[in-house]
Amino acid sequence: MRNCLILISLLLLLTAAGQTESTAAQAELRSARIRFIDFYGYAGLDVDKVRAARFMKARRFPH
Amino acid sequence: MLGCSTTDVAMVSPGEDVWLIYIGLAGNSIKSFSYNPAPKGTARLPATALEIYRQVDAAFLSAMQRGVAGEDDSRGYSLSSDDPALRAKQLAMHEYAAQHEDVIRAVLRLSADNEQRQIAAELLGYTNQSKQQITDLVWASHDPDEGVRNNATRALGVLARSNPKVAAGIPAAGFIEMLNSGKWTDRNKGCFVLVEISKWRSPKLLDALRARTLQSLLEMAHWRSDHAYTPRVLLGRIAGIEETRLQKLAGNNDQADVIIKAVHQKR
Repeated sequence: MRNCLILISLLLLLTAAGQTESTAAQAELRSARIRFIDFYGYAGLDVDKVRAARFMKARRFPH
Repeated sequence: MLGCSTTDVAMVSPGEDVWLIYIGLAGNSIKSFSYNPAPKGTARLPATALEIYRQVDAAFLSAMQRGVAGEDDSRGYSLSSDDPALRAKQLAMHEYAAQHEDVIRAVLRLSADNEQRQIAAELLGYTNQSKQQITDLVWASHDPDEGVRNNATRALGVLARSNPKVAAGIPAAGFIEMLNSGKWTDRNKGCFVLVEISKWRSPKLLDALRARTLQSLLEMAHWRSDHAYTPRVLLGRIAGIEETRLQKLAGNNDQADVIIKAVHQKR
């Protein structure tokens, strides 16, 4: 299991995706609409705290 | 910062520039399962196989981006139902795969190259139906590479959907394990196979699902996209909800709690 923070993980993933694609694809990624962020595996954790995190409120990512 | 460990961040697009993100959190409902040993061989697919696969892949992505995602699984392999160009390429892939089954199976079992095995898993789903095909795909559903597992498990789901006899011959145990995986694709495709092979509501299978996957199914049933449909159907069968009613409930986010409540009441 990766031992990293959710936000960092998301940022790294999006950044890495952008680095391997064309400029056009990066522009596409920047304008992509995120409809939902959903979770799993959270038994025993405070998932409401995770759901309430600020980055969840973004309609587009990254700004 | 949240201080939560993650098992996966899966970005899934239903097309048209829209993305769904699924984040696996390292809580108590994540349970790893054992993979096959990593193959170490040098077997490779012929260039023709790779070209046919890439043509299908490109046509598929194009169809998805246009929102043309209808699927006909009646032949045991996936064919587009509303994009003639994609369907023609998929039929060509079937023709090729049916004639080159031996090399496809060899690559899937032996190649050390993950991408080669991923492509072989998809191609194997397009060969003619046989017991050996099922055996190899079930084996590949526990491949160490996530992409291979995804393609093999999806192919089995399509086969199971096409033919009840085929579905009855697919062992459930490995797919039950996948529902607790930290990887989103394992959960998604595991649900797909189990929905097909639990249609007859075998008490033994439903008991196993309740005993070993209930928490994971409940978490997935709360998702807000179409990906919640299959875990909701599995929960509804565990709860004993009549099938026609269940199909309607499972497809409606506002009705998901009816299924969840029924599961809790049957405890």
